[in-house]
This record gives sequence, C-alpha cells and structure tokens, in this order.
Amino acid sequence: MRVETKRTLKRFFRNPSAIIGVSLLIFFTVVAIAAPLLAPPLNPMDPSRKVHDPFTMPKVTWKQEPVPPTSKADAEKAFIAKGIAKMLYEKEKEDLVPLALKVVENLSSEELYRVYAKVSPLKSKIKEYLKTVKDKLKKAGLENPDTYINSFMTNDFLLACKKALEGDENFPQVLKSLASEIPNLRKTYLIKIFKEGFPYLDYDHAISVSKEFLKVDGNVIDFLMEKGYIKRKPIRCVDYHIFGMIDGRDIFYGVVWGTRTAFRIGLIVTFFATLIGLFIGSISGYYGGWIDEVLMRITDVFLSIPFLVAAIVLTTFLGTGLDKVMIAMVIFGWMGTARLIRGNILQVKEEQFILAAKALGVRDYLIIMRHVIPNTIFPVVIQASMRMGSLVITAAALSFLGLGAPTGYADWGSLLNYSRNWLLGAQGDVFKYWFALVYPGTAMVLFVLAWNLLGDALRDTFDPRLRG
Amino acid sequence: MEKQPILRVENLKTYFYTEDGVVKAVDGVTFDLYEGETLGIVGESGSGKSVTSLSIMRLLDEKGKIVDGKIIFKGKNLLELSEAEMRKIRGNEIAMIFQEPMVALNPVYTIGDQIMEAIMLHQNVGESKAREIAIDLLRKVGIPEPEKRVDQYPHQLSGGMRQRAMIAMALSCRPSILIADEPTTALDVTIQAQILDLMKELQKEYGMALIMITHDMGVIAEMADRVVVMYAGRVVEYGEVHEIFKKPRHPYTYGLLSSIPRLDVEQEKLKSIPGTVPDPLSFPSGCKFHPRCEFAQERCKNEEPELVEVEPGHFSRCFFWEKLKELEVK
Repeated sequence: MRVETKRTLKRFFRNPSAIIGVSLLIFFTVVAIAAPLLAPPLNPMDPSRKVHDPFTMPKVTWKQEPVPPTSKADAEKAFIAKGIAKMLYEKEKEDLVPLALKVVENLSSEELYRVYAKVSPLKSKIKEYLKTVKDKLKKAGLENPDTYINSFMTNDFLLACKKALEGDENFPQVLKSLASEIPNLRKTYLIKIFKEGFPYLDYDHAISVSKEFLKVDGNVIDFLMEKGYIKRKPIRCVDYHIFGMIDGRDIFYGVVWGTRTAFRIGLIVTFFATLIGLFIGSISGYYGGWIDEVLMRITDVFLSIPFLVAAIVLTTFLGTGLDKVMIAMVIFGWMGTARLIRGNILQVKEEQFILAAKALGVRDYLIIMRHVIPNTIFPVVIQASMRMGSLVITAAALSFLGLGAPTGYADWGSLLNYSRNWLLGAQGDVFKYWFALVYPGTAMVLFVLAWNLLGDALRDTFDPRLRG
Repeated sequence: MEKQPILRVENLKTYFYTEDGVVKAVDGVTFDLYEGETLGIVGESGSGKSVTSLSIMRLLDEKGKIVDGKIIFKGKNLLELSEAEMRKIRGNEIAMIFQEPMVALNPVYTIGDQIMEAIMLHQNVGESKAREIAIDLLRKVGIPEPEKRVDQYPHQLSGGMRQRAMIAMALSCRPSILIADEPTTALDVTIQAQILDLMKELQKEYGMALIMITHDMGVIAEMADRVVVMYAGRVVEYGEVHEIFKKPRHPYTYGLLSSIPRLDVEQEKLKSIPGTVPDPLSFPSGCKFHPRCEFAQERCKNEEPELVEVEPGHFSRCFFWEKLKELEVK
C-alpha cells in the first residue's frame, strides 16, 4: 500500500498541471488563512476599532452629506483652500496664502485621499498634543481647560491671547507664555491638519479650522473632499491601498477576504451538492427498476429548469444573500453528480466482484459503501474539483444580477460588480481604472484555473481511461 | 445405504423476463448433491448452468425470476427464506467462486481486506484475529509469503494467485457447499491443474460438497463424482461420472465426449457438434437438441422426451438412448 501510494503521488507530482494547480491552491489557502493579518479588519476612520463583520468590507464614510458652494465667493475660497491644501502637502511652505492664490489646478480626489490615508496614525498624536496643552492650562490654574481647548482656534481665545500679550495683569503667567506661542502653534497645527488631512480629524475641528483660517464653510470643505466621488470612483493609491479603492472600499481587502468567501462557496456547495448527487445517484444506479426510473425523472426535471431562472425564483422567497445563493446552487447543482455516479454504478454493478461480495452474504448498503462507491468515486472527485472553480464564477454571475452577496460583501464577484461602471475608464484614458477590474479578476481566474488544473491532474493520475 | 442429500434441487425453473420475451434459462432442473461429493454440471455456453448456480444462491438480477421448484438445503427450502436469512447462508453455508479471477476481486482493496470482510461478516472475530485467519487461509491455498501477499492488491497478483485468493475467500467460513463456476476457464493449463488439485485437497480437508460448473469435459473427468449434463435449460443426462464417460446415453453427451481431442486415435479433423445452441427466445419444438442431433428422427421434432432412468442412477432425456448403446458395442 505504501509503495502504491508513493507511486501514485510520484505520478501526480510529475504532472506539471498538478504542480501549478496545487501551488496556486496552497497560495490561496495561505491567503485565506492569513486574511486577518494581511488585511486587518479595522475601521478605516479609526484604526483602533475593529469592524463588526470582517466579511463586510469597511467603508470610508463621512458624517454629513456634502454641500456644494452656493456663492461665487465661496467657490473661490474653496478653490483657494484646495490649493493651499495641495501646496502644504507638497512643499510645507510657511508663507502660503499668497502662493495659494496662484494655485490653479484641481486637487484630485486621489490626492486628497492620499492625505487622508496618512492621517490615521497621526490623529492620536494630535490628540496627545492637545492633551499637553490641556495639562498646561490645568497647571496654570484654569478651572475649565476644555473650554479653552475648544475655543483654541476661536476669535474669543485669540482676543484673550491678545489681551494677555498686551499686559492684562489678571491673566495667568503660564498662559501668557503659552499665548505668546500661539501664532506658531497655530501654524504648526494648520500645517499638520492640511498635511495630514483635516477632514479626518474630528469633524467639528475641521469646521472650526476652516472657518478660522480659510474663511470657508465646513460643508464646502466636505464638498472639496469629493465625498460623493470617493464613495464610488475607483481610486488608485499605491502607498496605502496597494490595489486601490472602489466605492470607498479597499480592493486589496476585498481580494484577500474574498479568498475566504470563494473557498466557502466552493467547498460548501460542492460538498452538499456532491453528497446529494451521490446519494440519489447511487441509490438509483444500484437498485435500478422503478426507483431508478422515479429518481432519474426527478433529475431530468431539475436539469430542465434553467439555473439562473430557478435561482432568481428561489431568492424571491428565500431572500437575497450569499447563503441563499449557496442553497440555490446546491438545489440545482447535484444532478451532474447523480448522473455521473449512476452511470458508473451501472457499469460497476455488473462487475463480478459485486456478485462475489453478494455471494459472501454482504449487506446491500455495505456493498454500496465498500465496493461500489470506492470504484466509482474518482470521476466524482475529479468532477467536484473542477466544479469548485466554476461555482465561484456562478456565484459571481449571481452577484452581478444582484442576487448574490449583499453590497460591500468581501467577494470577488461583488468587487467586479462595482467595477463594471468603470470598465470604460475615464474620458481619454481607457485604462484609467484598470486596477478595479484586474486585481479581483486575476484572483478569480487563478482560483478557477487552480481547481481545473488540479482536477485534470487527478484525472490523469487516477483515471487514465479518461485521459484525452 | 441411502444417503440423505445435503442439497436437493427439484424441478427448478428460472425465467428471465426480457423486453423481447421470456427466456427459459433453466426449465425444470432436478438433481441431488450429497455430502462430500463433487457434482459436475457440464454444458455449452447458454445451457443454463450458471443460472442454476445463481438460482441456488438467489443472486439473480431483477429480470430473472425463479418461477417454480424447490431448493432444499439441510431440510430448508431456500426459496422460502427471507433475504436476511439467505444472507446468513451465502458465504457461510454455501460459498461460490467465479470464472474470472481478474474481475471477481475488488481492485481497490487488498486481498487481505476482502478475505477479512468475509470472516468478520460471518464469524464474530475482531480485526487482528480475522487477519490471522486470512493469512492462514492464504497459506492453506498455497500462496507463498502470505504475510506479504495479504497486503497486496489484486492487480499485483497473477491469475492463478487471484483464483487461490478467491478460494481462500470462499472457504473463509468453512461452507458445506462450494459452487465453483468455471473456476479454471480463464487460467493457463498448468495453473488449471494446480487449482483443481488444490480444490480437491481442500474439499477432502473441509469435507464439503462441491458443485463444479464447467464446459470442459476434462475437468469433469478429473474432479466429478457425478455429472449433470445440461442443454438449453434442461438436464439431458445425469449419472455417475464413469457411467457418463463410458456409456453416454444422450447424443449430446456423446457429441461432447467425441469432440475431446485424442492422441491415441488418428484424427484428421476434430469432431464437433454441428450448429449452435438455439436462441433461448425460440427453442425448437420437441426435443431441443434435435436440430443438431445425428440420430434425430421425426418423433424428436414433435415430442419432448422425458428424463428416463436407463440404468440405476443414470438418467437420459432421449427416446433413442438404446441406439447409443449399440453404437458403443460397435
């Protein structure tokens, strides 16, 4: 037996398609297992919090709907603000406002997003900084340092500072020295905020900052962030989201967690469909007669129902969702196996060793389990491994029709579904959003290919009769 | 002294209901089998010998039905037993070995597994004990290095080895009857002799009765004590082996015997029985052998002869058996 196993393994691994298929599958398995490490399921707005369900892709969101600038003046200010943001981001120049006026080009959503991407780790640092300010104020004997902090950037506070600098005796000494630092502090803070992306600080902070320094309404800032765009438009952002983003979601995250989804769909559906197929096919093939007739006609009925129509009908009363789609795929996916196993059993049934086993008084179910199935199972295993891949495609097709995974589910099909609006790219640049399609698409192709190669290799190894 | 038969087949009729019509594969077969003896059933392909054995085991497929008759084994009519009771008899009381050792063993299990399956099924023993018994059996049927062979797969064994393993499997529960359906047909001549010797030896040792189904008169001469000659689902001659060989009383038996090549007589061409076995869906009227019979007369076409006792214990289904007696005198 050991020798035989060794020989079989040797034959298996001498097959190039087996090597490619198995290595691809190992790769996908590793990715699926290491998904929490590769793409931590963290809230992008606050990396210290975990997301509720890792299979729901975390999404970048804002608290308010964006409001476009209403007046011409606002629009100009917004434009200048944008320019400042860009200048600050790029050059860290001190004397910025006059330069900003010269900025003419738009800051694209991608660039703004880049700003955002860097802020998350820095946000806590700014908080810390504010805390030291608060401590200083406390030490100075202020009863309500929070109000000072809150009014840190307001005119009242500035007035207070001015007063202090002008020599008001009632103002505490420490605060006086602090107030003297204020202009510098404000500058640093401003730079930091722009550099690191102010909309990702507390929303209120952002508004106060923008009001104070840019004289622009907070809502306008939101609009500048092109929230609506970020939500839907694919964004390429190599330094933070290596596969880019689409619909406010990280494509890399989707591809990594989608591996788990793919395995789940493939394994569960194949397992149950094969089980049902084996059960029905083996009973029908072994007993024959009217049982065979009835079961095979049922199989024919199921085969005659178009799968997509059936899946649509089924989801109308089961509801949509990945599990429902999986149920539909099991219910309408067992017939192939049943027919295959029945045909094989009809062949094996006539073999003399079955008769020999019967002549030894072996029970029917033991004959099926021990003698019939082991001699007929290989084509089924091969078919199952081939199906593993194609099931993922079917699930993707159903997602495409809106029957599959819910919006934002980490699934390759859903990712491709998002990118279908951007397939044509931007005007004048057909390949602008290539990444939205190529990464999840490649993952899916490789996954299907891996199973097909494995199936081929299994067939060549175990069932040389089927070799084409 | 009248011995009690261990197995008595009485007027067995097994018909196959096919789409083209009813095939009377076995039509009124009667014979006895005594303890420890070897009964040969001989006939051409399609004469119903295999169906007879499958009927005894009740292993016919769904189209085959035993429409009439009795199969009395140790006082019980096997045809009246439930399927569960019948399963206890199969393998345990009546075992069977098949023609093709190449395909009668399951290719996915080691021969040890398959022998142990039979042992564990009928004897209440654990796996390690069953393995010991299996190795013992393999040694007994003359397989060298049984400890090694027990873990080998059927394809690693030669045809003769496989037939030995089949015999070991059949004997695993010490059955009182062993039915051997053409056990040597698929084997080399040298291996044939070895297997036949082995079966004889084991029969003596186990004291079991043996039903030897074959188309080879040589095997019958070697093995059988008594012979049933079948033609087209009927017993045409039945008697002691010496009687049959020396004084055949049916032209079919006569034909079979004369088609054995002989070295002591100068022959230009091998003798053979002209024609072929008739189509089971449309047997000829009267004596079913008459179209091929060199002694056929008008009466044979219209009337079917009864099985008559031509000598004590020797039966023939021919109107003109006495003519053969004359032939022998010549």
